Amino acid sequence: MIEKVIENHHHQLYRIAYSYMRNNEDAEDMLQSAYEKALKSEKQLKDRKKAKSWLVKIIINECNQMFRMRKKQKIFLENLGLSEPTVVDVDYSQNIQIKDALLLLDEEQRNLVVLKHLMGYRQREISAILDMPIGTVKSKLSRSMEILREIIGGDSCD
Amino acid sequence: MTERKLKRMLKLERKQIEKEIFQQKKNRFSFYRKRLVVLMVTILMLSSVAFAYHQLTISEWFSAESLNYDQILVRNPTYRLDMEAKDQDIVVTIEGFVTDELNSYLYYSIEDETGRRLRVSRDGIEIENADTLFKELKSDLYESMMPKEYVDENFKSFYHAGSSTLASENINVYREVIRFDPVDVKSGTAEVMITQLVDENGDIIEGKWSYELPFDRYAVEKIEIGKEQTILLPYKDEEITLKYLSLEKGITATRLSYTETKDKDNLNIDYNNFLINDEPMREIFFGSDNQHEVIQIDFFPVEVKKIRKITCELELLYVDEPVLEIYPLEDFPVEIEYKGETLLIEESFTDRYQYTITDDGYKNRDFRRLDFEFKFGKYLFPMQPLDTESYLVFEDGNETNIVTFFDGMMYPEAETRTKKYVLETHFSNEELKNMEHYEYNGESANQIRIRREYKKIRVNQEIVIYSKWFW
Repeated sequence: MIEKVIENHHHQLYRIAYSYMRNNEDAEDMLQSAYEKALKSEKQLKDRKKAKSWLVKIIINECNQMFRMRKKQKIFLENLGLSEPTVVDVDYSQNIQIKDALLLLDEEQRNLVVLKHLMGYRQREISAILDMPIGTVKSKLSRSMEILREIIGGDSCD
Repeated sequence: MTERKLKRMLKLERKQIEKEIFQQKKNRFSFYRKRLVVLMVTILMLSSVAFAYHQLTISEWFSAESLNYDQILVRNPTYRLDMEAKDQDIVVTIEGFVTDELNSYLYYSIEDETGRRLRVSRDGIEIENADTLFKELKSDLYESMMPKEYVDENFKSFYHAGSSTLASENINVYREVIRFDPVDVKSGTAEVMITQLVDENGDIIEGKWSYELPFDRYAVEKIEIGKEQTILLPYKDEEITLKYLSLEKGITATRLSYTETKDKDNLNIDYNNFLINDEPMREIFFGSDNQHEVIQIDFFPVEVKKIRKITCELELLYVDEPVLEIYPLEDFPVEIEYKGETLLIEESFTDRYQYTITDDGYKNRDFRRLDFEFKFGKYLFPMQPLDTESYLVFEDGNETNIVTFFDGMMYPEAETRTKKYVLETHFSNEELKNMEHYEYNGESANQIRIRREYKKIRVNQEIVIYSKWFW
């Protein structure tokens, strides 16, 4: 069943991974690993109708996990003095790209923005993928957009 | 920044992503297009060659073909030698010596002018410079076991193994392949000496057929898998953890290596239906040596350009479980009920006691067999298959004598076709040494115990060993 979902929706799934990772190699790696996990634990999926959203969730988790791992690696290297410290203070007076700004959101906020605005999912679909009540999706999405606006440049860009 | 502007930026970002993905596809398409052009040119070139047997098509990147012994030599013509030696009007031809890091295959054929069907005898072949080619070569080039589908029916011996009869167009020519250890050097010359041939009656023909076989050992392609998977078994919530290590693609075999970790030693898994890109892999029945922690399964070599997926089926779980059920034996024949089925125990006496246990419910049971134990007076005697003369009765009524338990294992019908399983044993003062040892006093059996169940639990779970969608 999962294989069918992969075959039928591969391009869409690739787009999700790409929206997060923003390069082909990473996106493919994330998909590869997500597909393996999904196939391995296919039996845990009780409702077949949810196969696609379940798979999307696994892909998102894989991408977020990669971000977390890279962050940890960077901090570790910084502590060893092998890497430049992370620039935490963003110069809001300068335009920063959306893709960089998304990385400054927390995981949940990033998931909401990516799914809604970069993937074009409806709130009901997002609610199913993230396993979150639709009301919560609305309010958290609105909050995420506010934070993103702050990150990107406040009023200076208007 | 207004929300409207942010949404506009996000919309632009979305378009940017589309653009990047499109570019990726385009690049990839152009990459494949270039390769396609090269491929087409190659195909055109190849098609002009009259003996081209193999046309490369796009689908072949993923098509997997499992070769048999004959095909291995045909597909690897650089290993063909066709070196003849003649003695006593018998021509022995070494057709090929195929070597990689997994196995060595020696192909030979024998033509006898008098029409006898001859093969190389078990003790009649040696590699004279084995010391320089192998770290440790098994003393016997014929291994002790062989793929069962290749047993030479004319000899009907299970112990002439590691060899396989090949089809020969000429009825007077006998062809065979002998499988033995891989050579431990990259290239060299094997000095092979054949000194004994054997005919169908087992008569030995002494002679001397010697060869110097040049070889370049083929380097296998190793795919590291490194994937771990824990599977819940349908038996007392036991688990098994499988770690797939690697797949080695050679010209003599395709070898899968993995480890199996479980808490209980009495659990054994039966894997089946190995598929590579959805095409069946054929297991070499007695392939690599599995005496080590890493389990290796050898399959006939698979020709495939790109491996997309390797799967298998966890088909059966075997559980060796101790039980103790005691039943008194009086007034034979005795019928006992065991788990809803009847066991009929019959006794007869000619010059000795004979006990026959007929398990009519064998087919319906969830176990392969039971271990029985008889009590004679105060002495207990296990009815071990190795100590018994037993036979299987098939559905068509035919019987097959089984001398040892090992032989019994070689009849797959015992698993699938057996109508009833009959164990027959002969006890007598004179003939069974172990009975003398226990000072058996000639009484008939007064008790039967069921000691152990060998359960067979169907699992039928597909396992994805390896999957790759991208390269």
